[in-house]
Amino acid sequence: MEITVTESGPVTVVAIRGSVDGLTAGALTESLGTQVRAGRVRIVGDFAEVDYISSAGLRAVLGALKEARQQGGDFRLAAIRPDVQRVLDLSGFTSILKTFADPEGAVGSFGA
Amino acid sequence: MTPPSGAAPPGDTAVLSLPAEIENLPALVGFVRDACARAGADPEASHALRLAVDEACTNVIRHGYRESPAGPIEISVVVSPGRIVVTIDDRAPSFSPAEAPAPDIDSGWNERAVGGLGWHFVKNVVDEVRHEARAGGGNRLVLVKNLKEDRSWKSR
Repeated sequence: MEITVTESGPVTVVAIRGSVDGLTAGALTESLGTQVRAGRVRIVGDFAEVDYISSAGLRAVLGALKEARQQGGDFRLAAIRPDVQRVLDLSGFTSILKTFADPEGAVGSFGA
Repeated sequence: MTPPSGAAPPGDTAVLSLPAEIENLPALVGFVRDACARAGADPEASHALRLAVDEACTNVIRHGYRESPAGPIEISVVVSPGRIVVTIDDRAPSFSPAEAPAPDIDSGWNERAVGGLGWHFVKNVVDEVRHEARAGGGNRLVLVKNLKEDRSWKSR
């Protein structure tokens, strides 16, 4: 898994490439936690290159979501592939996460 | 690595045995992915088995051998027309997926927890899940995934 962080005004875009599973979830938690601790709590997860997620990966997503929201921000996902979407649906995460077709839409949603 | 004991596998069976350590998870999951690819499994079936095997093995590694040194995980994959059967054997204390806590899939974000999701996925993405206690200790988990009949996308 690779993580690329870019800033788009007040929004941080975290582009993830690869699999978010039991081996890599810790690195994602660390990366997202660094943003939140730096006060950058409006975060978009660009999932265009995420080909797989497991329950361990969802734990990292949920942890980031809670931390960001508790500080007045949010963690929103964009460009989710069908296999990953299926896991999000099964987990019921789609009822608590805001998801967008592309990163631009997710970034823009924070401006409203 | 020495081959696993027991009957020599027939042509359509593959077996892998590794210590139940998290570093071995990619090899265990990769073994099943390779078998799915060789079988020409449809993408949905391949993803389902990857997820189910990942979650089941992760549970054995993280929880199964929690109170003892990591023992083995042995995976066998049997491909037959129309379906793939994955068997996961361990020597950990007996644990049935039926005992897994119910997942929380509908509380609000602030109350949400991830516990139990792994088994929830296993039960929902494959067509059949069977658990049995092994003679002499340990667990056998059998996962059956039916393949889509239309395989015309495969090159002939």
